[in-house]
Amino acid sequence: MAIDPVIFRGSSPTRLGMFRAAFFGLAFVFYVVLGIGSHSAHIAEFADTPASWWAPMVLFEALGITPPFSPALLHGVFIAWALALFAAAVGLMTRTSCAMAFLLGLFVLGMPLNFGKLNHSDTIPLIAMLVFAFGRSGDGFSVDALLRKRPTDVAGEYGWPIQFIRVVGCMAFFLAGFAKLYHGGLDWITTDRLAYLLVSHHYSHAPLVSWALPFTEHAWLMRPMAAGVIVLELCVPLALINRRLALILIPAMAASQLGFGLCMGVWFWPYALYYLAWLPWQQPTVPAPITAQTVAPTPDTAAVLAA
Amino acid sequence: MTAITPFRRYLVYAVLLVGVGGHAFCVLTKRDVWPFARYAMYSGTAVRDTYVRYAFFGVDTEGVERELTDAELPVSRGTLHTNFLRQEMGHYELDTEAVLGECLAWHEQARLSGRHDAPQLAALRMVRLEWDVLDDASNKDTPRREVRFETLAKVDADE
Repeated sequence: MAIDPVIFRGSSPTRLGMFRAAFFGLAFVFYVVLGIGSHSAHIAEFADTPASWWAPMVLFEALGITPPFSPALLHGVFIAWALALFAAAVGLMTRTSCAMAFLLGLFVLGMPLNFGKLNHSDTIPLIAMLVFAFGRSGDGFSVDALLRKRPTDVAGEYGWPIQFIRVVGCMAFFLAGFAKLYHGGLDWITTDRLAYLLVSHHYSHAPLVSWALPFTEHAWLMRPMAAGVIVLELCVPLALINRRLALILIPAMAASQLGFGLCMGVWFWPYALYYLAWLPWQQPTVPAPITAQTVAPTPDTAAVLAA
Repeated sequence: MTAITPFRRYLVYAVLLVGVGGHAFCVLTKRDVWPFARYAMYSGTAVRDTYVRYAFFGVDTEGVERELTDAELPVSRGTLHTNFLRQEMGHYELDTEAVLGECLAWHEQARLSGRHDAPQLAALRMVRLEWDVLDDASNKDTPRREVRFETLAKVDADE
C-alpha cells in the first residue's frame, strides 16, 4: 500500500521492547503509584457513589454495566489492572498482559466518566495498550524473551506499533485544531477566546503561575497566538512523514501542553506516555523488508518477468 | 529472520481503520463515544463578561465553612460543577436536594471509614460563585456568592 512506508518503519525487537517497558512502567507510576487519571486509583470508592448519579457512557451502557458495584470487585479489578500494567512493563506473558491492561483499563479509566463529565486524556494511552497487544512487543527486552530459547525477529513487525501510536496522537491533535475551526470558524482566532480561557481558568483551576495574564489584554498578541495554536495542532501530522518537522512540531506541542498546564491549571499528564513514542525507538537508516513476498525472483519468475 | 505476513499487515491496517474510523464517527456525528472522541474541548468561541463556578462548601460542627476537596466528594468537583452548570443551561436534570443529601451522607461515611480526615459536617452548601472577568483576574478571591441550596446533617435523637 502507498502508506506502507509511513506505517511499517524499521525497528528491532529490543527497541520496541524498550518502548513497551518505558510506556507501561510510566503508566504504572502514573495510574497506580501517583493515582493520576480521574480518580482511577480510588475506583473502589465508586461503589458508594449514589446510583442516581449514574449517567453511563455508550460503552458502559452497551456492556450492561450498571451500579451497584461491590467495593471488593472494583478494588479487585484495579489490582488486576495494576498487575497487568506491571507484567506488560517487564514483558511477562506480554501479549496477554497488554490485552488485559487495555480491557481492564477501559473499565478502570472509564468508570469515573459515567457521572456526567467526559475526559479524553486517557484515550491515547488506552489505544496504545491495544496496539502493544496486537504487536509483537514482547519479542525483545522482556521476561518472555529471556525465557525463550531462540531469539525471535520478524522483519516489519517492530516499527509499526510505534508509528501507529504516533498516528493516533497526531490525529487527536489534528482533530482538536479542526474542531476549533469547525465549530466557530475563524472566531477562535479573531475574538478574545484564548485570552478569555487564560483568564477564566484563574477563577476555576488555580494555575501555578499567572505569567500569561499581563499579555491577555493585548489582542495584537493573543490573536496571533490563537492562530499559532490552531496551526500547530493542524500541522502536527506532518511530523509523521518528515523527521526534521517532527523535531520542531512534537516538542512545540509538548511545550504548548506544558504551557496550558502552567498557565491554566489544566494538565495533560497521560500525554507524557504518548510523547514516549517520539523517542528514537526506530531505525530509520536501516529499512527492513516488510513483506513475506519481498524475495529474490527465482529463475522461473525471472523468465516470466522477462517475457 | 522471517517477515511480517500479508495477514498481519492487513490486520494492522484494520486496527488502524478502527482507530481512525472511531474518531471520524465522533466528528461526523458531533458526539463523543468514549474512548473515541472529536477532541472538541475548548473549541467553543464564547467570550463572556462573567464567569460562573458551582462550588461545594461544608460547614463543620464549629460553624466553620470551607470549600470541600475532591477527596471529600463522591465525584470530582469538576464533574459536580459541570453537571450543575449544564442544569442551569437546561441541558441536564438534577435533583439538587437529593444530590446534596447524598454528598453529605457520603462525606460522613467516607470520614468514618478513614478515606479522608476532614471534620464532620453539620451542613453542606451548594454555592454559585460569579466573577466579572478582569484581564488580571485580580478579583479571583472575591467572587459574588449565592448559596443556592443548603442541606443539614441529620442528628440522631440520642445525640
